[in-house]
Amino acid sequence: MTTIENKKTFEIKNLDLFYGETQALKQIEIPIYEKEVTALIGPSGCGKSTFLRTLNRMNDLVESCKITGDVKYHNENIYAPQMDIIGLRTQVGMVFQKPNPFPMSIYENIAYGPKCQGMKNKQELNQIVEESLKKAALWDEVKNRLKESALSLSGGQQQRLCIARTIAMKPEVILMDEPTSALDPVATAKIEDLIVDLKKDYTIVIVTHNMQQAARISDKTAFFLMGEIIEFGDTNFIFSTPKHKQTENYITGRFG
Amino acid sequence: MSNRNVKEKTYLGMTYGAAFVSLAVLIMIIGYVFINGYKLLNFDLITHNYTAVTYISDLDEGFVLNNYETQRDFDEDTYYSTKWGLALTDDTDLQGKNVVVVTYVHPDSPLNNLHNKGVGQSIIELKIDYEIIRIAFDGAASALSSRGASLMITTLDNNDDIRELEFATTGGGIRGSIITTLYLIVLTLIFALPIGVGAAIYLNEYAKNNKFNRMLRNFIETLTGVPSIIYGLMGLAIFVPLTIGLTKATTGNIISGAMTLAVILLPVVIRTTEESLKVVPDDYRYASLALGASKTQTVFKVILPNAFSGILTATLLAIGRIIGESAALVFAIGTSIKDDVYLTDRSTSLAVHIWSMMTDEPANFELSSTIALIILMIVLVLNISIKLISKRFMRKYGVLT
Amino acid sequence: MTLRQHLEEMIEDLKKDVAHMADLALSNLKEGLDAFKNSDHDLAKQVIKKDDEVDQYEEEIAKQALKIIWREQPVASDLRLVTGILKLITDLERIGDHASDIAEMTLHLEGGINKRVLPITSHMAQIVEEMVLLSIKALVQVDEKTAKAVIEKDDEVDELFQQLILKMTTELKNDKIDANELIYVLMVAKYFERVGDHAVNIAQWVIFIVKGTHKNTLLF
Repeated sequence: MTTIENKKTFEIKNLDLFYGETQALKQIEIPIYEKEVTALIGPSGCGKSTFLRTLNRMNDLVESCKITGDVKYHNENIYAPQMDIIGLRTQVGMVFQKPNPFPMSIYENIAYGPKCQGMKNKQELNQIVEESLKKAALWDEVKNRLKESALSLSGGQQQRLCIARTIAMKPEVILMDEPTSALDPVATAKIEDLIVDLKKDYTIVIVTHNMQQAARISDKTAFFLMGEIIEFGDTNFIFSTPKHKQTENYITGRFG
Repeated sequence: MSNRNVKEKTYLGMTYGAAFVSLAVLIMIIGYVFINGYKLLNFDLITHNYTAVTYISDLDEGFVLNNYETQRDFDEDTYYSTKWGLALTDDTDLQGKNVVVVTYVHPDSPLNNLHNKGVGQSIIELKIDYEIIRIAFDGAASALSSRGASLMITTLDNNDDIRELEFATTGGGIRGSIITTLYLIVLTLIFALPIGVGAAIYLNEYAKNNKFNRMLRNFIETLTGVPSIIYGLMGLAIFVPLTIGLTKATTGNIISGAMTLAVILLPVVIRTTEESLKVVPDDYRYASLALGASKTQTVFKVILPNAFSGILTATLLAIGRIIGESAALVFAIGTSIKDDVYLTDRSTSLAVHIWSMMTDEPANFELSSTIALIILMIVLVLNISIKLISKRFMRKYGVLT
Repeated sequence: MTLRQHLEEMIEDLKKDVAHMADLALSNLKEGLDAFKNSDHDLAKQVIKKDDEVDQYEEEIAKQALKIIWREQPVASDLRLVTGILKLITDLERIGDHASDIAEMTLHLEGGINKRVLPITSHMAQIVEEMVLLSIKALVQVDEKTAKAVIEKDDEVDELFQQLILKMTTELKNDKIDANELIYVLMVAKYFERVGDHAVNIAQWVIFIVKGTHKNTLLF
């Protein structure tokens, strides 16, 4: 099967990451292709989430974190000192493992991002809220109760709300850190369908513990082990004929 | 098996017992104060000045005596003189002494325009609730309050002129102290809340977790336990001269008192606010930052509204402490009970008023209990109103529980 | 300790069953060939009966393979193994069938086989038997090289088949061979050739199990 080489949104080279004395990521090298779903798989604590957080500089929040290497977003190293972090985060959004809507109304949750960027016009905000909720496949379920608390939604709905909230910023990339691991199978299936739909417009990087999920929805898969990328390639190859024994052992479940 | 049962029951019994004892003690204390203070509780206490002023007056030139009939109904204990248009009754004053009290003055009565023989205003009115101490007549024995209202009215009716009228304005009220207490609450909160909440935000959201900051936190925690009289000394040494220099104050005053109280409260406010900030889940911070909000926006739009109820608790605690604080204030504001309250002058709060009452000769226990009761009521009203306000505030800002 | 003990066990059992089925098919084939060579009618009858066992095995193994698929969602090498096995048991079953067919042909051939044709047919039988043996070895050892060797041997069988046809046409022209004999020998030889093809199929699926490619096409 031939892969059509899409544009690279992210290009990461020689990435090393330290938490104090411990090295969490070793010489990571990986491209993230535009408008594809790239899945990051691997056992717990092997660096997948840490790596994900380097893409929108959320690791900055950890004091002891040090990074060397190149993380290029559209050919610009995002760790350069003059990088506009806030601007980066409006372009590279993130959805977390546990749905975390603000304890505000559904409307206010979605409007939060745009408001922080200075948008005040009521009509514009209304439009953004509606668009984002529609894109996140949540509009029909909540259009009559936008003023109700976001916390009154079910887990799956809350997660779609968080996705809508991220979409409201009109990002280019959406990072997802195990977005369905806290949800039941039906909610999970809805979100997987949503992701497959979203990749038409967004570049998505998803960390997942569920290998079947990675097999189902991703175009490329990277296998992380102890802070290194052991193998990266088209998902269909990784799951049918992986090149490395460690990859094979992991995906067949011979070791956890 | 039964051994374990016995143990369980003993523990359970101890827990129930502790709860019961606590409840009983609280009820007893409040009950005791209530019973003692209830007798003297009336509206006048709150509205009257503390110091009663005694006037010696006589009638204005050219007064006219008439028949001051009135349609008003008086009860059997009130004696009315139609000649003078004055109704008197027997009563006990706020200290408990027997007095004769004015219950009604006819609007046309000459007693409305009395000439002050002493210092102060030249024309004074005889008002309701004033005490008549003595009425002196030309050519007749004086009517004294000790003889009762009935006799006084009779004597009045038997005379056409009054040589001297000695009366006292109402006193013994705690109006001044209440106003002072309210001023103190507002001022102290104005000083303490912004600084305290701001410091807590810095410590919890911005400060790095290094040795210096940990020491700082420990230091603040220690300060919460420092006895307030030490702060009182500090207030005397620093804030009193400061206010004297900056305003027209000449002694300890309400502003310096509020500042001292603010310093006392600062560690408590900081700690309580910090605790309530800590409780806000990190999830919200991550979500906000990941959406491209700045740290300041995150703090003020997400974290603070969520920590609001904690800050509220801090405020209520603060108010309780302000009302009850006496030792520190003794130095910083002084102990003189004032009727005209100025920010730049010394005064007393309710607590100090109680202290003042109890150090009098003889100690006025009933009145102190009454004041204590009033304090309790103020605290209750403040609690409820702050909770109501906060509910509306939280609803408005979309922070829903 | 590896995880997924249960999957491991199921796969081991599956491999064992396939090995048994292969042994059974092979032994049936051997006996069928012997029966043909020696015109042993009794042996032939035995072989025909034993074919039922081989068919049963195919069903059992198919069931097991499907169970692994729905229960364990195998990926990578497990997936290739299970799906490869599902495909090659068909060929094993056909080999068993052909052994039975050869035995049946033997029953129709009374008297010995023409001595002129016998050497060629014997040679074919031998090679074909080797091929099946080798393909089973490739399967059990999951070895690509052995599998490739099987595929190469197929040319030999094809050539011998051509030789046989040539020989038989010559004999027919010279009126040295009985028409009946001719037809049955031809059919038997065709069955030999078919068995060889099935051995090749098995080998090709073994290569798929190893590499994921079947006849040089990547199936993923």
